[in-house]
Amino acid sequence: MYRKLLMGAGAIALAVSLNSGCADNSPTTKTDSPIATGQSTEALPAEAVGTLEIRANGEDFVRQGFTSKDGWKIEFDHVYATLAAVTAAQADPPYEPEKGKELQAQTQVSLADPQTIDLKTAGAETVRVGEVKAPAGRYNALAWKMVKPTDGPAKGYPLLLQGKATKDSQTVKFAIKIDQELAFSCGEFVGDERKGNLKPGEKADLEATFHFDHLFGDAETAATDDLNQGALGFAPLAAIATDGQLDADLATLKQKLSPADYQKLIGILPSLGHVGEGHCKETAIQAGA
Amino acid sequence: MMTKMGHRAFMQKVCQWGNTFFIGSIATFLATPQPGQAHGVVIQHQPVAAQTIVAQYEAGKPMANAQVTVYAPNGDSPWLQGTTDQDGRFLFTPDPAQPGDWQVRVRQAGHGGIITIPVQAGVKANHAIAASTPTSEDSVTQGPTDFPGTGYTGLQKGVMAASVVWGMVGTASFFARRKA
Repeated sequence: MYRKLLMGAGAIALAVSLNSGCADNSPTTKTDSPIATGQSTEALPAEAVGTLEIRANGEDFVRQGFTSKDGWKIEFDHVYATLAAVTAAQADPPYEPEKGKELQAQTQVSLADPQTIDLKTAGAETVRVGEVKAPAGRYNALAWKMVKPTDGPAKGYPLLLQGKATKDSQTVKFAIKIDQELAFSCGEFVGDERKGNLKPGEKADLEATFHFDHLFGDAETAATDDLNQGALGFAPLAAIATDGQLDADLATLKQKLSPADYQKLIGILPSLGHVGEGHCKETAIQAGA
Repeated sequence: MMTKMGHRAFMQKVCQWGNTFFIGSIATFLATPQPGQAHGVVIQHQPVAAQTIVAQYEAGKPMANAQVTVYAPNGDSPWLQGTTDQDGRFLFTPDPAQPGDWQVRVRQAGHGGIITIPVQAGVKANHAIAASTPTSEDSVTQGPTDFPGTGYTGLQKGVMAASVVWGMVGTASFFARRKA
């Protein structure tokens, strides 16, 4: 009998002690990546590597067209962008371009060759730039250059916008040829979902995003909004078209636009590159390239 | 015979003590204010490591009523969601059991950003700090709180458990006396 009593008391005491230990106070620890910058994926075991895909996105502004801040309905036929030195990095500390500090990559991978892509590619929300085998980990930084392609439909222009703009009875067919090379360095993708968390044996993606509403403005946004206040709009471009045609590189635009509008255009170019909604730092223009 | 009678008397005393403790433990339990009781009010305080996020556009305009998503370290799913106030501020308390880099994403009208807040294990700050400038001076170190979330101290818990156990021993002894 006493043995049963002792067993019962022991069971209760055990239950009480287990209950009091239910609260989880055990800390988790941060695991730092042991992979040094620039280490080849060939030196890593296969189970430590995944596939990182880089995509580009011109958003609905490019895919579906939109109305500029000054009432021009813009439809694109093609938006060619040539991306080079596309580099994804595991940055520690996390890279925040607006703070002006250098990107400190613990691990980084790059695409081998420049790629010219058309952000207007039919049926695609985002366009594949390329993919690379990469060590697993969280890729929280992306950098790329925009260079002059040596061949193809956009030869000589890192960014080429082709389409038409309509307002009332006016239509302007345009080819805006941006021959200024650009370079963007960005932090973590900011959007509906998180991107860049590459797990061993799996696939993840990062996105270079282009915000063309910064150039033309957006009629669906208040005229007083900073976006529209800073945008060029399309009216200054329509004003320099001839017979409903505008075919202009930066030299032509500099010659025909007012100095204020041209400076506005040049000032907008560094703000085109994003990672989702996250801003980037442009370095090529700042360096005088 | 005297021995047998002495044992019975002892057992009766044990049963009385046991029942007294058992009833006493129940009375103590019922008399202790319970969280959620209709008329009882328990107000306590506990320092926590709150973080204040201040979100602004580059020109300095606050991101008022912007969408905020908080991610725990290495988490791909939101740990907490909310919106900023009129001044672009958002206050949250990271789970100290999940040390590491917490991230807070703020989005509004096609623009957004993400900030990383390192949270150390076992370190709690007792006042809000700006997320962009966390410093060790803003933190104080505290020991773990006994039985977090229950409102009872370890001593109270121990007394309650011992009373329940002793009461059950006494009750069992009472029935054991009849069989003897």
